[in-house]
Amino acid sequence: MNGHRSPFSANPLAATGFLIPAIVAALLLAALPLALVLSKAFYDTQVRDAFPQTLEALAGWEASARLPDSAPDALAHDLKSAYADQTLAGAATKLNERSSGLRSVIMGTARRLARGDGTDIAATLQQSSPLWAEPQIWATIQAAGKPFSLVNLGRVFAPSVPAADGAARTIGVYGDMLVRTLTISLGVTLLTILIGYPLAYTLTFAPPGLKRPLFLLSFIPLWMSLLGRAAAWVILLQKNGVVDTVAQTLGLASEPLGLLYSRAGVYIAMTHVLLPCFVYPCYSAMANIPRNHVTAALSLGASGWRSFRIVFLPQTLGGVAAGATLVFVLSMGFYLTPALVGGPADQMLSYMVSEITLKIGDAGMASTLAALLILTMLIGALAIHLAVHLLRRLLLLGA
Amino acid sequence: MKQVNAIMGLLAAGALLFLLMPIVTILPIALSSGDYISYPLPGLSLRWLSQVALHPGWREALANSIFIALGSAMLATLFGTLAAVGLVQAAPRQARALRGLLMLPVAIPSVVLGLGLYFLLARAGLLSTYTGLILAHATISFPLVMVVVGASLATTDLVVIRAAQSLGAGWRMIFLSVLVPMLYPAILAGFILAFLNSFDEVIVTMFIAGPEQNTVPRVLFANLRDRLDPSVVAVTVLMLLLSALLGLLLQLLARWTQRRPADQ
Repeated sequence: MNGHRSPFSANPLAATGFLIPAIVAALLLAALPLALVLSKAFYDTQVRDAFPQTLEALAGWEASARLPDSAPDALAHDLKSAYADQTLAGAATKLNERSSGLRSVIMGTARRLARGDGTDIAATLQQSSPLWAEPQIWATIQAAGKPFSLVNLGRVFAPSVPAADGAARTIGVYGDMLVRTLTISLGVTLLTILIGYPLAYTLTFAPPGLKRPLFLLSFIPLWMSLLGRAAAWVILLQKNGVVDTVAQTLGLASEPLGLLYSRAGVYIAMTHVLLPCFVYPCYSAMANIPRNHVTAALSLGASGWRSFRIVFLPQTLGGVAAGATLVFVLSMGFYLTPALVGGPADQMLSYMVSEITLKIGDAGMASTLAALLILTMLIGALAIHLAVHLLRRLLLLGA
Repeated sequence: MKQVNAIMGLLAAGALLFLLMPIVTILPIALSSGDYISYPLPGLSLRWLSQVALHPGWREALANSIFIALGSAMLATLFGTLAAVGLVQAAPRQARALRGLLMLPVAIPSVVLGLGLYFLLARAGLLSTYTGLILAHATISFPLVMVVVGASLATTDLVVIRAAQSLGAGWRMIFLSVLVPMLYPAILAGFILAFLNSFDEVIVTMFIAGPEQNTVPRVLFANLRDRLDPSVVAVTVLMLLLSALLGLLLQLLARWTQRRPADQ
């Protein structure tokens, strides 16, 4: 190999300029949003931005000491301006996570202040909620004002958090969601391997005339609209839908199977969508294996099954790992199919991220879950690689 | 080995049946004359297809979808084609790093990208705007164009570039009068892929689009969760058919590109 010779050697900078629009787009509209999500997972300025004067008044204050005299006025000012800017609701939600019930106290106080009844701030606070007389609520605002926190991460894994009224509230729901997402993704990966491997094998060894039509049939679904395929499954799996009718006609079931809004439905639809993504890398690996390896094993007296197991199969595992990793990574991020085909107990992390962003407005928690999704995805991909590597070792040892 | 082949063939037939069954069974339902989604069909009619074609909600969504898909596909084709050509001239090590960065938009899960764009576009004041949507869709589509055009460039003899250079052509002229004419089947394929990708996109759109920016996938997604009627099936079938037809066109383009060097 001689050194790399650029076809644009006379004017290298000119063609580098060709990359600029794409690089700008990737940095600005993919890398920057990703960085925003990752930073918001642990760094949240909502409360700091909504309560600047209150936090200043509380600087250096400790919950055991007397509340600074300037604090109530500062709070009133912050509440009014954040309420007018419509940034208060987000901050109040954040405070509510630390101590439930705070959201309604803060929003109620802000509304009362905005109506402007009474100039006596202390009295207005007292009328709004007796909590303002307690140091606890001020300490919560002070703590939430620090932008760097692991509170969200704690909420994912902690089984419960103490509420303002002292009652324990179970919020294991996020942790559950993570485990469920991982379970479904691994299950779908396994199913695509089991169904896809024979298909890739048959594509590899199909007679030349049959190869092209088989290829077309296998990969046409890949081109088809993802939402369209999910929609097709909703229509087919519904009660007394096509799948039920066929199963009953063939005598496989005596009553409707109820597959729509079930975990089984999610497995069926997701495996269907992701199958071509496994078959393609697996086929590529198989097509690259020299045919004479198997022929040699057969001519040395190994049975067909034995030559498959110790000569062919180990050489395909690289392709299996590539396909399985791709399927796993894609299925971890799945949203549409489980949202449409699954029931409330089959929703995955992506669904949770969009629900708590768009319906609850908790951007910090959504970001934490998104960061965890990416982290789990990377760890899982690595684990699949290692598992397949181990399997190859075992197969070769067993030979 | 025959035994292994037979078992594998049987399993593969089952896999193919599983892959194709839903698509094949759903097509006729769009032509049903009945009020419900069920087999056997009571009769054939175009009533659901025509109802979709005349419904103002679907028509508005279709217009939005086409506008966004065309705009973003044009941008994505421009960015992706330029990037593919730019990568050819970069040194291999830099090219690998750059490709990693440029593939980022398709490597990030849609929900994560949607959430990040929601934060970013909110700050930029581009939430609920067509500009924001088109830029976002162009970003998630240009890597596809880059891959398709890059694959075509890899099988092209780039000595023509040197030839053009030795004749005194500048890079702009090389791009427009040498590379674009040589690569246009791949560029067209990239455009179709980018169009389809945008036309099918619902997750990122959901985060950054406003209520007046309904797209076909958005309306379909909402309808699928609320109520199922044959008009939903009709739209599903139309989306599947559109993507399958464009997919077939892509296959033809790919075969055409492969055959071209021999023609010349």
